Formats: sequence, C-alpha cells, structure tokens
Amino acid sequence: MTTKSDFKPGTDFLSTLNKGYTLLPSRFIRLDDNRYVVTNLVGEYVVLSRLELEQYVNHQIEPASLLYCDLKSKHFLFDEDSNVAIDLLALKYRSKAWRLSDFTGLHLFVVTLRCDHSCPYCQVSRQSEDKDAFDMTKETADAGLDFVFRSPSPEIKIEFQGGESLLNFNLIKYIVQEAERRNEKEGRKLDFVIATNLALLTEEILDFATQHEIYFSTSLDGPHWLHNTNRPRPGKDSYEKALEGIEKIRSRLGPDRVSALMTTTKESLPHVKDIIDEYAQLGFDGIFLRPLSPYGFAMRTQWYQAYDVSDWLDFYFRGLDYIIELNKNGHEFTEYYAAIILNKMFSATGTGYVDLQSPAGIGIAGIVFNYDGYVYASDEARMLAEMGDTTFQLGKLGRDSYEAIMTSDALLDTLESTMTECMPSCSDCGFQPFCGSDPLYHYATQRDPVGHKALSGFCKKNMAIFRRLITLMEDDLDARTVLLSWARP
Amino acid sequence: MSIAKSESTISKDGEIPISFCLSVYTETAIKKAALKFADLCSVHLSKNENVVTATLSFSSEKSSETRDQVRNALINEVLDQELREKISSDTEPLRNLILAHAFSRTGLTGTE
Repeated sequence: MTTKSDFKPGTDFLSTLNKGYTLLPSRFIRLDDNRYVVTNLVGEYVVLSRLELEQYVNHQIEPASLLYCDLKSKHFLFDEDSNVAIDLLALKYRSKAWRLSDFTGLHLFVVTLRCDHSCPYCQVSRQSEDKDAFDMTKETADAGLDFVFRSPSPEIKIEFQGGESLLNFNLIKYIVQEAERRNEKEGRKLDFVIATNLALLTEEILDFATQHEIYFSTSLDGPHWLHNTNRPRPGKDSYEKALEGIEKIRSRLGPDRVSALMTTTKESLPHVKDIIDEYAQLGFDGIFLRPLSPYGFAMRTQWYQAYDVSDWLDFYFRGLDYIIELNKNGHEFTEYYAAIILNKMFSATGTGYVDLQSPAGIGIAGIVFNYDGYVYASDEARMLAEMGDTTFQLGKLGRDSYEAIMTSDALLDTLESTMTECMPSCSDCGFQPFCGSDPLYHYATQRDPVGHKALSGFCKKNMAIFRRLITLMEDDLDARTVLLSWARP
Repeated sequence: MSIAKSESTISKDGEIPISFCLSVYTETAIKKAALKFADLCSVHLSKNENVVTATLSFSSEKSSETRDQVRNALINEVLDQELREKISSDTEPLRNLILAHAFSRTGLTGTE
C-alpha cells in the first residue's frame, strides 16, 4: 500500500521549470491570417498564433502555462524533467512507417480492355466488345500470381479491372481459384474486388462471388440524368443497370459488399448536394468526392481541361459542408477523402491509401498487371501508356523477373526523387506529415515526377483541404466531433 | 547574390543573357534547368570567374511575351534545381533509411 511519504513533494517537480526547454523537430505553415499550424515528425499538430509561434521558437513559452503542457505532451519540446519524448517520438515514427515493409498489397489485374460503355472521361483506351485480342491470357494470369505471392505482404488484395472486367469473367474465376489454391500454403489474408459497371452482372457471377467472398466496386456519378450523361452505353441505361446490380449484390451478398465511386465532371459541379443525396438515398455510408484525373481519354477528349482545381475545391467544400450538416442532423455519412486525411492525422499507423503516401505508393503499395502482361507502377502509369508514354512501365510478366521489375530504375529513381521528405516545397511544409507524393500526376501535368509545387494542382488541392479540416476542428466543436468520428483506422 | 539580368539586356537579335552567381547556384543546377527548356530555346552557357551566363536564343516566331515567360521560368527553374540538389543531399540518410525499411522484407536488399 502506498503512503503519502512514497511520493516526492509536488514542489520537487517544479525544480525543472524555468530552466528552459529544447525544441523537437517541427514544421509550420500559415493556417489563416492569424494562426499557424505547427506539426511534429509524426503529424501531431498544434495551432498557434503568430506571437505564440515566435515565443515557442524563441524558448519563451511559460513553463507553467497550458500551452507549454500541450507542446510538451505532443512532443514539440522537452526539458530536464525527462527526455522520454525522443524515444516516444521515435516509436511513433516507426509506427507510422510500419506499413512500408509489408510492401505491395494491392495487385490490379486488367483482365480485358474491352468495354460496353463509352465514357468520355474514361482513363483507359477501350476497345469494342468483340476484340478478343485485348483479353488477358491464362499464362499471363499465372505469371501475375507468381508475382503476387512474391510480395511479403501478409494482406493481399487482388482487384480486377478493365475495360469492363466482367467481359472476361472466366479468367476472373480462374485467378480467384488459383490464388486461393496457392494461398493454402501461403496463409495470407486474401481479398478480391471486381471493379465493374455491373451492366453484365449475372446469377452465375453472384453465385461465384458469394462462394468466394468477393467484393464489388462500381461507378455511380450521381442522379440518373448525370450518370447517364457521363457514361453512355447502348440502351442509355447505365444508371438503371448499376442500381439493379447494386441491389442484387446487397440482397445476395450483404449491404457492405458493394461500394461506389463517382467522378466529377463539368456537369457535376453545380450539383454536389444532388450527388450526395443520391448516395445517401441508395443507402451508402459515404462518398468519395473525386476530381478528374489527367489521364487517358480524359486528356484526349479535353474533359480534364473543363474545370480547374479552384472549381473542384468549391465543389468539394460545398459537399463537405453539406455532409457535415447531415451528420449534425443525425445522419451518419462520411466523405472518404477527408476520412483518409483524418486517419493520417490522428491514427498511430496512418493510412494505406496509395495516392497519399511518401514514398509514393507506386509499385511498393500497389501494382498493375495489364492484359498484355506489361507491369505498371500504378493504374495511372497504365493510363499514360495508353496515351503512348511508357515511362512508368516496369517490365513484363513472364519475361522479366520480380527482381528486375521491382528494382527497375523507373521505379526506384521515381520513389527516391519524389519523397515529400526530400522535395523542394514539401520537405519544409507544415502539412508534410499529412500529405503524400503523386509522381504520376506531376509527370502527367508538368512532365516531371517531382513537379513545381507552386504550379501543382495536387498540392493546391491537398493544402486547401488540410486547412479547411483543421479550421473546422478548431472553430466548430460539432464539426470536430463529426470529423474525428471519421478517423477510424 | 545571384544576378538575373532584366529584359533591358535583350540583344538586337532577341537573345536574352541571364547571369548566375556560382556562390549561390551550382553549374549542375543551371545545366539541368537549361535542358528543361530545350524545346523552347537554345541555351548557351559561358563562365567567367564566379559567374555563369546562360544566353537564351529563340526562333524568330517567338513573341517577346513568350521570351519573357521563358526567361522568368528558367530563373525559377534554376532555383528549383538548386534546392533539389541541396535537399537531396541533406536528406540522403533519411531517404535511404525509409527506402531500406520499405524493401527490408522483399529479399531484394543486399544485406539479405
């Protein structure tokens, strides 16, 4: 049993005060006209006034103040009391980086380039349905599976892409069954996702998906008039087919077995609330408000030029505000990009989202096997190749070894030169711990994987979102509650 | 201190010389920046003591507005390349540590 005499008097703990403090590594950036965001190595942050920032940097924060306690507890400084902050910071940094050594988890198999839709913003060149020359072969699939299980990742996700992937469903069946057979020895956590417009969904496909616990990912751009405008197909019934497919999957496999992604087009910009309402009414738990990427047909058809980042940010923030209001009124609904960022900010282990990592997630988090066996660092790299640029083509299945592909200059040089810790503008940015590297975006828009961040739409977008999220959390307690509820690892 | 000449030094044939002080910028940064604009102009480099001069030559159909834009962009590019070199050098240990950790379980590192 402890007694009062087992503890030192409280005055003993005051002895280290007024002896000054040592700064721990941090970066800062302006939040608005009056405040700054200061971040440490692992992304913990404080919001300070200009005066407080200057006092912090000049070792003038009062030791007995709440601000001092806050800065000390979040590892922005340490004093003679204890230097455990350094060990804790190192531990946290290691926790944030743990995912890296798992290496490639996501493997995309582009089983066909054929498609039954003709979407102007499509990010891949598609061929009409009757061209079998654009289907992946069984031999290529086998070589792809060899590659998959060469990764040390304990969790493997195989995602089937196209064109319209269900046009080569027989190969999907083969890959799933063969992967499961191999995994009996490997013992990984194995997940499958079929990315599809759902227009070709059949009972046979649903039976197979049920048996093998396959997830579906589909496109839903918004209300039917918007969706069908964006995604033409013979019969002009893409929306109806998608809804029919979503319902079938939910009733056969369960409500969480199908997710939807939207693409923002010029037509979408005035209608963010309608788009969100569409998702909410269809029973989805949230929405990923995505911009249009500068690849594939989107570039050729000039859709990428249709709006700039400012237009999209206006769209996004109207959407975010509306979603927060829905939550405040009792309807739980998430904006998934904000959730990814909030996870990066508040979870111990960060996020596995490929497009917001440093080093970039290309190759080392996700990789793409095209129908013809060529291996790409990312789906965006594949899309660039469809435009005639093979800069990020890493090799070919069946011809090049795993070693040759994963240590290729195209991959390693890009990873090394585009880490946010090491790029101008990024390396000393206060938002660096929250951000990531997107070399493909910068290459597509500036012909340079590093890019000038002052000219970068990626940078502009992310910095605006970081500022908005932090401002909301500082100034609106109810919004803060909503946003923190999204930070689920 | 770097010296970037203004448009008042544009020569009669439209060439634009820009001088860079080697105590601020490296030759490598200047060359890398010059190379990036090879599709818009020719860049001739000369060196005199501590100053490198990049002389931009344009085809006749390039407007003066375009030439100004290219000149300004090249000046920014030299700064960017200089920073890339410096930051890359300063952060090499950190970068190597992170990438080594990423590849640590793949069997692709030399220590395995």
